[in-house]
Amino acid sequence: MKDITLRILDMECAACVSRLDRALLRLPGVSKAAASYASSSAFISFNENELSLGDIAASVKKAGFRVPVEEADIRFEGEPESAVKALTNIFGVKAVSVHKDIITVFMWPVCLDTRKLTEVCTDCGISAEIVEIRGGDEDQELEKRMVLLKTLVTSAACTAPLMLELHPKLQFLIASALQFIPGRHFCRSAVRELRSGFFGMDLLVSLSSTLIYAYSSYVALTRKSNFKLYFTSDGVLLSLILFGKYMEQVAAGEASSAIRKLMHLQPRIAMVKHGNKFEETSVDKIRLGDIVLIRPGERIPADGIIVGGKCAVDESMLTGESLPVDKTVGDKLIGGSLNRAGSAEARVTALGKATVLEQIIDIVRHAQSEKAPVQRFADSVAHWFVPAVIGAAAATFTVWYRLIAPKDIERAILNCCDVLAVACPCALGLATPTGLMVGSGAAAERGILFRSGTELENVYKADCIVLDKTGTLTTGQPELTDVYPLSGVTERELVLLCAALEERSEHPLSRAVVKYASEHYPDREKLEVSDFAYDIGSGVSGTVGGSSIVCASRAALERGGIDTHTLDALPDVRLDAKAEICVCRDGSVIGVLGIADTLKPEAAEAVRQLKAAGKEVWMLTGDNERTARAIAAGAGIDNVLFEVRPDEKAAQIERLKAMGKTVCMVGDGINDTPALICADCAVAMGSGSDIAIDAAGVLLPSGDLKKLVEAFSISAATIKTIRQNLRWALFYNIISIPVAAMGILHPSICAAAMSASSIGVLMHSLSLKDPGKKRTLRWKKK
Amino acid sequence: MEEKIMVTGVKGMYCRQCPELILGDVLQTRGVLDASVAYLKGVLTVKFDPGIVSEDEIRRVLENGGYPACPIGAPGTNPLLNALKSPFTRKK
Repeated sequence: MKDITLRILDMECAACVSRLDRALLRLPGVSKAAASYASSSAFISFNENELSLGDIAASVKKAGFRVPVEEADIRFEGEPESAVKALTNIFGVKAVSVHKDIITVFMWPVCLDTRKLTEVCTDCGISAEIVEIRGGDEDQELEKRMVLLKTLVTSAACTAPLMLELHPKLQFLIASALQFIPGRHFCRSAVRELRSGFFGMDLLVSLSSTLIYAYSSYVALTRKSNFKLYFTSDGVLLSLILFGKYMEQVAAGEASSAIRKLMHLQPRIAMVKHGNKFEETSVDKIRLGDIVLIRPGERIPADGIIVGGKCAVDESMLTGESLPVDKTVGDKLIGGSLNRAGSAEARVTALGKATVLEQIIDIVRHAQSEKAPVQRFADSVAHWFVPAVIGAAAATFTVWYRLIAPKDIERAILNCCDVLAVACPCALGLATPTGLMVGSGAAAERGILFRSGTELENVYKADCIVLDKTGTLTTGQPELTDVYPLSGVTERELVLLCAALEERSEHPLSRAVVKYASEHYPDREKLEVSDFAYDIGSGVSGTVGGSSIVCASRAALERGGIDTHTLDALPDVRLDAKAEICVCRDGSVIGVLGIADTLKPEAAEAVRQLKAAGKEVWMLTGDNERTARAIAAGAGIDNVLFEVRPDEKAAQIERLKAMGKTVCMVGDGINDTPALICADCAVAMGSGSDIAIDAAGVLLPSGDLKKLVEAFSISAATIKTIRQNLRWALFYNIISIPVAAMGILHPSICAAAMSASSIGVLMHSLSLKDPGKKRTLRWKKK
Repeated sequence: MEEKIMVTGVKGMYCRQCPELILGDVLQTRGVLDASVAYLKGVLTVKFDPGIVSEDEIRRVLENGGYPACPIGAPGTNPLLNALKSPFTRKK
């Protein structure tokens, strides 16, 4: 029997505790389990032979709590092998890894003595020294919230009796309890802020409340009873501010709901093939290459490829689109997405941090925590704000005491405290991060992934949108639709000669030709190809069956000195918005092939909406002018950059930027990387589960152009809300501080106003969660 | 592939972590498409495929997790009231 005390995070209340106890007791081998919410841990008595710490941790995780893994870095000298083995065998050690001269020991939080680790190392003949220990601080945040709630309740409980007109000395006692128990919170916080060189709201609050308390205490203990006491105001001030802080915590919780929702999608169990049967297995135990069974209604346990069966999958966590997508053998599956119908077997291709779901969570988390330019502005204002307020308060005191009402210390102190209490720097510190969190979270829920707050802002600032044609505006699945041979050449000859070369190329146009050839001439003979050459932007060339063949655009052939005017007799497919491949044999043209790349159905409407919002829309393509203009016309785009070779795309973006525009490039993220990096803001579309694309700041895995429009409107709504909040903060402070200095307001009112302002700003930021009506109406350019 | 929506009260929520636990359990249940919890009202809304999972099964999941289903507004569904009554929120 082994007794352990396991540290467990995320327990918040009685219900959590009993739930955990029940979950632990259900495990075979556990004889006693008692979780404690106060100490964030569980005492467990279990049989080591039946159960491992890993099993216990899995069960805790399944119940919805976290077991934090602690890490210790040990610097060593010598041969680590035997030490590593010995360390792994220590009870409580989860894993050991070695990198250069550091052994990292991953431990379950069972209060392992780290000295034991070094002892084991020395016993194995290597010198060891612990350099760093990680993993102790995550629960501090949760503790903070519980402490805050208790502080608030205490403060309110003390304030209530103060509102009754009690004997001054009794009031003094209650107020002292208030000042030194919940009030301590502010003083400690203020001191911490000062030490890090930051002037924050807590400094204001603690100054104000201390002044009121000190003055009232002096009056209560020394003066006659006809002097008014302001202990009530102190109580109200502290209580309201604490309430505001608690609401901040709640708001932060609401704002991070997007991430929590994603984390709920992380699967816990899977049906894994062991031998010939499928067995229910914990996801932690799945390995790459395992075969998993996915039944209807189940969430897919890990990234994989279907090896048998068919299913219809809701991939809304990635694309925002909940209409199920049909998947069959060879198709990729994303862990966390939902199988709506059908059964399939899939081979696992990625686990844990490498899965798409984890990458999305990482992206969203990063976006929610990084500082955007608008926030840095807010921070810089906040920096001098508080000292300015303190200065104003001091000035208020001086002016009242010396000039306006000399010797009336009560009024002077009160008005000074009014100023300190009414000033609200919170909007600056709060509204922006909350706004960004909610905005990026709401976007993520719709299949729009902003990498950071900066990207959100950049999208908003962009006034010129450049859309790459292939794969972004068009479906990227071109089809060969026209075959026009010159006289003396058959269709079959034309197609097969071209296909023979295009088979070697990965270009979408080439694939269209090859597909057509396979479908229409399935019995074609294999032609011998030699000297194959592929010139970017100039087509393919080579020797096929003894003849020299070139397949390229008309312009490219002209550049190569080949006369194409005989093609003028043929119908011009380019006018039909099709790409044209001219085929040339032994120096003379023999015909053209027309390839249609259809516009996405939502393209025209999306372009219309973007233009309606005041953005300039451009199309970028390698197509010839006629084809390009025809396609652009179909989408409603007037500005076309045509015949742009892939290596010229970035230069075109630079040109637009040089014209003073803020350019947003929208491409597929794979072929346009230089252009994406060059643009002020980059959107990668249609990448599906390939979301590790670094070049783009915004990812739209669904490839839906409507989402592009949505991305612009969400970013506009978010940045506008944040700016509105900042403007309000400024306006509020500019009005309220002088008013408070004039002594018109009671300190309690000041505190209430400050609280209301702070909470109002938070609620405004939270309203971004449901963009709804707001979005479509008000996102015209500033 | 059908869809049905179930709305029920849940008993026994106290803190902000409770709805997360409920969502975790429910979303991992086979056949559940989507779920959300209105914390202050003590109400759970579940979108599920009735061909794969039944309302009774969902109720069983809730029961096993420690948050039994009950009529909306029934006593025990308001988390704030629960928290006030529980000794844990006042002592450390």
